[in-house]
Amino acid sequence: MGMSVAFGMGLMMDVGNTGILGQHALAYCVIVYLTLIFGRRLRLFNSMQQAPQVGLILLIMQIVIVLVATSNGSVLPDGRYFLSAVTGTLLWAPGSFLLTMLLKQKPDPDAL
Amino acid sequence: METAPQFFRHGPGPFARLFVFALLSCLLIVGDTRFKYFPQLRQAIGVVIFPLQKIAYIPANIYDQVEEFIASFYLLEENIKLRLLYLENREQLLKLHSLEAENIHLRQLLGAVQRIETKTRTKTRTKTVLAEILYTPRDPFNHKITLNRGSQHHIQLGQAVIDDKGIVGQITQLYPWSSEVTLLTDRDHSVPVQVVRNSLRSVVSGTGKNNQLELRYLSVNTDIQQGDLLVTSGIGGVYPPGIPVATVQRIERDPTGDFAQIISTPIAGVDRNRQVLILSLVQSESNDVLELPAIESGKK
Repeated sequence: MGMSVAFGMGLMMDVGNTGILGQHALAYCVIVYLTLIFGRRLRLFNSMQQAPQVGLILLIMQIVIVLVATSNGSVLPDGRYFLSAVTGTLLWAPGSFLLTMLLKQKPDPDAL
Repeated sequence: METAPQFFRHGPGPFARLFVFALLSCLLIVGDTRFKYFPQLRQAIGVVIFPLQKIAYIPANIYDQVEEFIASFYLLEENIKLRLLYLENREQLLKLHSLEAENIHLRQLLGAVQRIETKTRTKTRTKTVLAEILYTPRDPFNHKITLNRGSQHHIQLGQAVIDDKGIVGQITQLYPWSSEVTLLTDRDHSVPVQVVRNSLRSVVSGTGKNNQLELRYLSVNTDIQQGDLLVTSGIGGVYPPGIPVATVQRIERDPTGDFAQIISTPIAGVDRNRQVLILSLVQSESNDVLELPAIESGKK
C-alpha cells in the first residue's frame, strides 16, 4: 500500500472521526513508512511472532495521534485508549491467517 | 511507473515520501486548528465517505432493528405511560400560556414593552426538526456526534440541539445529508447561562471529560450553591432563553485562588440519546424586529 493511499485514508478517518484534519493522515503515513522499512524483516517471522512487532507499530501510530491532539490542547486520554493497540496485536495472528487463506499468497505485511 | 516491477524501486525513497506527506499533514493540521482553512475540503471528503459510513453501520442498524422489534412487545405499556406524561405536560403548558399572557400584561404595565414580548413569541414559535444520531465517532479527543440531517434538510450552522431534558450541543459542521454536533462537554464549547435561583449570568464551558462542565472565572465569594439549576440566558442569540443546561455539582472555594472551581453536570443525556431535536436559529427570526443597541453590542 502506497503512502498516498494511506494519506487519503487518514484524511477520510479525520473527517469521519470529526478530528483535526491531518491527524490520522500523518499517523497512517508513519506506519506505512515503518512497514516499508521493517516489512521484509517481518516476513521472516511467523504470524504469532509478528504480532508483538505489529502491536508496537500500532502503538507508535497511536502515540502520533495523541501527540497531534495534545499539541492542540486536548487532555491526555486515559490508558484504555492504548488498549486498541493490544487488540490489534491479538487480532493480528487470526487476521493474517484469514488474509492468507483468502488470498492464497504470502502474508501481506502491509495489510494493517 | 505502474509497469515497472516492484523490486526496481522508482521515485523517492520511503523516508523522502514520509517527509513530503508528513509536511503535508502538518500543514493541514496547522491550517485546520489555527486558521480553520478547510471547511470545503472537509465537506467534500464528508460527501465521499458518507456511503462508506452507511455501509459500516449496517450491522449496528440491524442490531437496532432487532432491538426495536423486541421492544415493540412493550408498546402498550409505553403508550399508557406516554399518555400520562402527555397529560401532565399539557397541564404545564396551559399554565405556561396563562403565565405568558400575564407576563406580557405585567410588562406592558411596567412600560418594558416590545422586546420581551417579541422574544417570548419567537421562543414559543421555535420550529424544531427531529434528527437521529447517525453515530458517535470513537475519538476520545473531541466530543461530537453526527446527525442524519444536513444542509439538504435546511439545517443551518449554529443551530441548537436539545433532547427532552435540555441542551445537548450545537451544530458546527454541515454536510449535505448529515451534520456534526459539538456537544456541551467538548473542550471548545461554551454556553451563556443564568442561574435560576438568583439569575446570575455566566458562561459554562466543556472540559473534554464526559459529564463535566465548568463555570470559569466566577470569583470565590460568588453566590452559587450546590444543586443550582443553570438555564440558557439567551444572550448571544444562539440558544433560546430558558432551556435547562446543567446543575451545579461541586464547588471548590480555594481562598488562595482568584476564582472558585465550579463543576456542573449536564442535564440532557449528552452521551445517551438516539433522537434529538434541532431548534431553528433564534436571531434569524427576531433580528428584523429587534433594534436594540445593547443586545447588538453584546452579540459582537
